[in-house]
Amino acid sequence: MVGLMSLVDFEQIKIHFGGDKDLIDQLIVIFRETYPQVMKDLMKAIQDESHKDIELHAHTLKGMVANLFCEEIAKKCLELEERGRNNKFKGDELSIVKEIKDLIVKMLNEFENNL
Amino acid sequence: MIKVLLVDDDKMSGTLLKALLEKKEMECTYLNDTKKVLEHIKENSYDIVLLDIMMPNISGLELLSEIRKHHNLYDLPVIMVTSKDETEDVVSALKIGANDYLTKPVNIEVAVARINTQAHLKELVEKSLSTEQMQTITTLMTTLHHEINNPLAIVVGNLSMGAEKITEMKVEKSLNALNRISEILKQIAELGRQQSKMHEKSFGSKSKMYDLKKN
Repeated sequence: MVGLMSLVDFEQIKIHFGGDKDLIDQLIVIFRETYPQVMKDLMKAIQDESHKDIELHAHTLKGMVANLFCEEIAKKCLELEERGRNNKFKGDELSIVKEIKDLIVKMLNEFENNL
Repeated sequence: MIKVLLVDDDKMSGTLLKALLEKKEMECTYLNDTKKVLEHIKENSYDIVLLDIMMPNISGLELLSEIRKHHNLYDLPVIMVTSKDETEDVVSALKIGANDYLTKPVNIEVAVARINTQAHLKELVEKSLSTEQMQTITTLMTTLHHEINNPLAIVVGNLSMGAEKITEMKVEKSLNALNRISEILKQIAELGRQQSKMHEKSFGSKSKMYDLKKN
């Protein structure tokens, strides 16, 4: 069942993928395989204060979660991407990454329970 | 079947779009290695390229510039794939020579409509070029026929004199006539060379030699 506070827009998923469960499964597998490295790269970029890399990795992660119609995580990624693009940091970037990490776990659980 | 080359460093986006395009009966090759793109385009014949803008190593904009050094807008249409917040990049891409753009997450119906439009335009341009090519060849052949026929008559006339008694005055006259003909033939050859150059500019490598002996 999709809860009221669902992270994933399952209605959009249904429309976008035309009910192709195999394709969604395939994407989730790719996501599980690739996102840990992207998160690692993003954290390293923040620690190194490399604004270009922050922009790039946050952008990649944003694209990945956007494909899974998870707006809340995409917004947080966009926030980091813009900070990287404009080279303007507030010092809480690592905690945003932590929030993203927690939300991704939640998102993956939603997919497991709703597909 | 429309042949699409899809370039995206994000494996998820690439896999998803490839699957959706294949469902719409398009032949789609997906590359996530930007270094191989130019080589792939050179070795294969694609109808259209879908190019992600933001990629590591080489950006979509840089790749687009490279592609446009060898292919014009109609020869190989390129549609950029961007995020909603990349307006500046979209403008730059259109200035460099992108045909159109799509935003992520890509709506497959919009993507198919835009791909079909570009493929259709490409086909129309190819057809119109081929008609233009045929017209140019016909004009050229008519001109050549007219320009060569007259001097040829003089050559034949002078050669037939061999059967008659040749006087010194006749030899001098014949040599002068043949000299004029060689000048005319040189001009025709130059005309042909100029036409061929213009043809190459308009149609690129598609221009071919016309084998007179064969035809």
